[in-house]
Amino acid sequence: MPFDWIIEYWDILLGGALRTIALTLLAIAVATPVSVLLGWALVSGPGWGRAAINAYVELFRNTPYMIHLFFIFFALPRFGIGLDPFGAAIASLCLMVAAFGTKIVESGLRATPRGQHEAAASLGMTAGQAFRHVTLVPALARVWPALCSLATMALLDSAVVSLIAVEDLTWVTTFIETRNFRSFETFFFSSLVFLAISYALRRSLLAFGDRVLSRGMRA
Amino acid sequence: MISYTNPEIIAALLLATRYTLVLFFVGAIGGGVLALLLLVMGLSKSRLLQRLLGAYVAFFQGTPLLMQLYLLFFGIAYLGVRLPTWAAAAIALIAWSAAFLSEIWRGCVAAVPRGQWEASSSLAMGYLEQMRYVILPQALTLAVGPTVGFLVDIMKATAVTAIIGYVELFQAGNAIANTTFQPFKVYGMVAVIYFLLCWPVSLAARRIEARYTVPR
Repeated sequence: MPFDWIIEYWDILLGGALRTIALTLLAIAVATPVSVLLGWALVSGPGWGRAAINAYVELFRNTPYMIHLFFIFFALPRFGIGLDPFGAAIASLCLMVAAFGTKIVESGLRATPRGQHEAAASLGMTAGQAFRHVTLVPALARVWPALCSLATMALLDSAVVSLIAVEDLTWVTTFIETRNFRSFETFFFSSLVFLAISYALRRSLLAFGDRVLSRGMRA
Repeated sequence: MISYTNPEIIAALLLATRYTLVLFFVGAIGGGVLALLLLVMGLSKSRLLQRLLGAYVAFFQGTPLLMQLYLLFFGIAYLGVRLPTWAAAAIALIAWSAAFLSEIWRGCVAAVPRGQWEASSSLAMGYLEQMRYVILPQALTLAVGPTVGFLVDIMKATAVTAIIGYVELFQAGNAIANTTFQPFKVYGMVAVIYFLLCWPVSLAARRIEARYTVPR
């Protein structure tokens, strides 16, 4: 039977899939608030701050993710910043996702019509209320589909962390493949698992945005 | 440990960059041609073709490029077809970029307002005439920016092919970093070269998008 190895290895397959999911969710959870902060700073921060953030964003958006990963894992220990594989994977994923997220949030914030701020002021909203209800939540709702695509990108790019021996779904797949010698079936099966994860991730994030962000806009 | 002078390292990296560029052009041009075929497929009325196209795009956009490379390089070899590394890298990159490009372009065709179709058919234009004179000129204007932007993604994606052993910039940098024990310097140089390849393209994409975006 071409697929009976799945039963034999189901526990490490599950472990690998869970590690991949954990890696992606952690990266999103850390990178999203950072993106909001940096995106907001790009719109209304001081000039030197904008320059620094833009330099970071351009650097990370215009180099392959693998180089971030290898740089953090292999080069930084020279400077006393030694991370274990999982830590290096998380750190590099967060840096990459936040760089893209910052630009997305910035474009959402910039799309706020001017009149909205004036309307908020005329309703007597405090600065905090106006920021939350008029600036932030509508901006996030506007760019939510783009942020969901970014989450998928984080999931798919995370596959290369298997190279520094993070035991994620890809690592587990190559491990099994060296034992069952069924290259095609093994890689095909794991591709389908990735497909299922990316579909579920996208669906649940879109639903989350629908619930939370549109309710935030109505309230 | 082997030591090289800095000019030697840079020269070796630049020589390897040629292979990154070759793969980039193969991926971009081949991907573009395949994406056009997929686009035409998607515009047809056949349900079966639509289904197949949907499955194709879902697979290549929903699985890691690394898995696709493994599947093509190791998986297909196991089924009896042994592809050379460069061929596996090229095919995977073409198939991957075609999925994304066809989606980008499909979106651009769909973004042309319905009224344009109705107006042109009221002028008694046939399907091909509508496409040629009304829809495609407008869709192309929309498509230029995102397409150029996606070229950056193709350039970055070429690095993943290093994993199956295609020797390009990343693979060469990795080998040099491992033999010289100077990861900081070598990976730094590799990053700078990638940046110099990608940044101008990013800037061009942004400029094109700014020019074609109609302020609302």
